Amino acid sequence: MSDPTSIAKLGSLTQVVFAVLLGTLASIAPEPGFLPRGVVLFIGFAMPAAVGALGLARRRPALLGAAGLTSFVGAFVAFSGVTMIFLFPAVLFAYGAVQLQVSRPATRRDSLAGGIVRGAAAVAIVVLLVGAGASALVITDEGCWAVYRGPADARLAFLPYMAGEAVVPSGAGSVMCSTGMISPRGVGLAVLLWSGALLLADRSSRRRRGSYVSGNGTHWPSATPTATNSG
Amino acid sequence: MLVMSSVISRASRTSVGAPQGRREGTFTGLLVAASIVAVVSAYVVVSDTPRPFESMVVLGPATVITGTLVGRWFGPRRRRGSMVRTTLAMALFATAVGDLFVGFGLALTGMGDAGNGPVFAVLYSVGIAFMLWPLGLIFYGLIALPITFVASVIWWQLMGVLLARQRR
Repeated sequence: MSDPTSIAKLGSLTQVVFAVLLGTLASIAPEPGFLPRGVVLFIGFAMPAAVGALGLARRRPALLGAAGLTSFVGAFVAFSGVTMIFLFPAVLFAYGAVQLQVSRPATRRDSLAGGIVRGAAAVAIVVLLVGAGASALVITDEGCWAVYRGPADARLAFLPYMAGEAVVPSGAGSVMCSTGMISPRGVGLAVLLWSGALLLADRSSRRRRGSYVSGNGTHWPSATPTATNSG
Repeated sequence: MLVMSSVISRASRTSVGAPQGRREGTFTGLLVAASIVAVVSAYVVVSDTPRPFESMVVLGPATVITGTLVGRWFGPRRRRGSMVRTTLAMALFATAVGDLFVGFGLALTGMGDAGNGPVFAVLYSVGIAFMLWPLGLIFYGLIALPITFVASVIWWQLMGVLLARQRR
């Protein structure tokens, strides 16, 4: 495999596919709320793929590491163990980061200070992404809903939260209550944190003006006549 | 499944009578994995599995990755892969095997559902231990293997006991 980014590309793709799988799974049992749980889960789990893709485009191993670490943390979110599948992209991202770092010649590597700054930014990105996911899923509303089953489909009607025994309205098949409904507050905060993470990823991975990245990931100054700009 | 993948991969090579590449091995492994996923999915849907879709989501990728890697390994090799790539393959393989344990745990007992017992605890402990050590192997070397194994077994046994007490 000559391309040092191929494994990381596979990691990004796997992360998105698994996010779609999880989102679909969460949409099987619908619940009323500000936003469908499946959509929130998809966005939350697709974010590491976006950060990884940015790291790939700009040849920044730190961003791939951040994507891998976020994916690793996300793998342990569901108590049922269903999110364990995200350990695959986590491994791929980690390997991709190492592969990308090793493929760069030692003489062309960035300064130590730059590396520390990008490492710190990567840690901050992980914190922001994990915080966003947590706020979307933990800052929730409580409520109940009645399920009316028709001949073709089921209709949901929102009800105020009932702490005691739930009263089933006439005509409804069942009433379900939850204290973990997706809330505008949680999603709003999550959107802010997700945006912050992407912004930080973008800013921390920018290269100096006048420098280029060649096709095999080598960092060249602009004076080098053989340089090609693919990053 | 592992035996089936390897046997079919070898059998197809013998029947063709010419040396096959790793691509053919991969394809064979994938084919076998896909059939197994189909059979397992059918079983999960038909039987009274507590968490059918969750178990399918976990088992599907795990079976495909295991099948692919086994198919590749048992196919004839034109050249040896590098140490780093072998490590990655081993890491993915261990993660996939771990996911198989967790997936079967979900299919047979269902996390958080009634009927969790020793089978559940063992499947989850072994699964988590398998899944954790590859990342440990990459970052910390072999030291992480026994530590993560012991820690995860203890953790999941404790969780099992706590869950059982909570239900009583």
